[in-house]
Amino acid sequence: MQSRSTTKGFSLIEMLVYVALLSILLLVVINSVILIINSYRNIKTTEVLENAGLTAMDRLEAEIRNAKSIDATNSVFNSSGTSSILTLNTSTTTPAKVKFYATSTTLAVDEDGVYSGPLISSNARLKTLSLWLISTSTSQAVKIELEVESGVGPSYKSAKFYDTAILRGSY
Amino acid sequence: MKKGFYKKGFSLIEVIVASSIIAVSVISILAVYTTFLRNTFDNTASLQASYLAEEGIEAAKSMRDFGWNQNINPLTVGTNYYPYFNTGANKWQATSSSSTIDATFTRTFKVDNAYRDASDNLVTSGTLDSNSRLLTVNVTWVQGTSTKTKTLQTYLTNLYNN
Repeated sequence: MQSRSTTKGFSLIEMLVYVALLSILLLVVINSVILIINSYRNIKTTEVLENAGLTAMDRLEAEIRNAKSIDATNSVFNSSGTSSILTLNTSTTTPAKVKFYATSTTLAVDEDGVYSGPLISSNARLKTLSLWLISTSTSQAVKIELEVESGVGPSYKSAKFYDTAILRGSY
Repeated sequence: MKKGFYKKGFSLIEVIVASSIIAVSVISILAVYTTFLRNTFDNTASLQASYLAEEGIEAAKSMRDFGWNQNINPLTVGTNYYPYFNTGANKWQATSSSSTIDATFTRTFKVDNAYRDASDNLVTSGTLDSNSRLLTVNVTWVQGTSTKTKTLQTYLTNLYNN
């Protein structure tokens, strides 16, 4: 009986080794779970940010290239805050005018004076929009500087996008 | 009975071998995952660089619109210039002093001679066309230990004879 009880279980040293091994393994697994959760949030933020930049820049670029001229009285250039406005006279009859303007959080579009929606999803925010008008004797161009941000706390990200587009209709 | 009981469990060596196999596989999966993650986050810079390269082309075209003789013709063929936006004069200009954008991207552009064949097609060797240039825009940035580049090429012509 006595000899049985001593041979049946594990020795203290064995137990210690097993527990140590197990805890090291657990540590690695828990760390990876934390990493995966954090990176999921970061990936989501990056995706939202990239989509916001891509959508806004592509729309701005396409509309500027399609435009005939700039409606200067309804545009605000050389502003580094969120008061920039760009109104374009398009090459088409409907809409004849496309207006882009920055609000406190997003970039909005009006077509012929009718609000057509935001260009940046609600998960991302517009930080700054700056516009410059480049006038030459043969063409007009608009330089865009757009900064968008997304996420909070450790997953906060922001990115700046630069582009210049010549009004093809202004030639 | 006693013999059978002893055979049932794992020896210490077995446990160590098993757990190190598990640990190695978990760590290698993590390493691959981390590489994927880095690629995902690096994508933003690639997107920004695409727009910067595109802007370089449009900037050169805008400079051409201002005046070929004033802006494009004086550029030394085969030399890198840095386009910069003159916010006072609201126009694009070329400078030879290097600058970075957002302390990350370096954008250069250069013009090369353009040649045409007998049918006026653009070719790599032929008659020199002094009213055309091959424009190359390069955007480079450092990502981890490597340097990434985005390149766009187009032809510029003295379209408005200015």
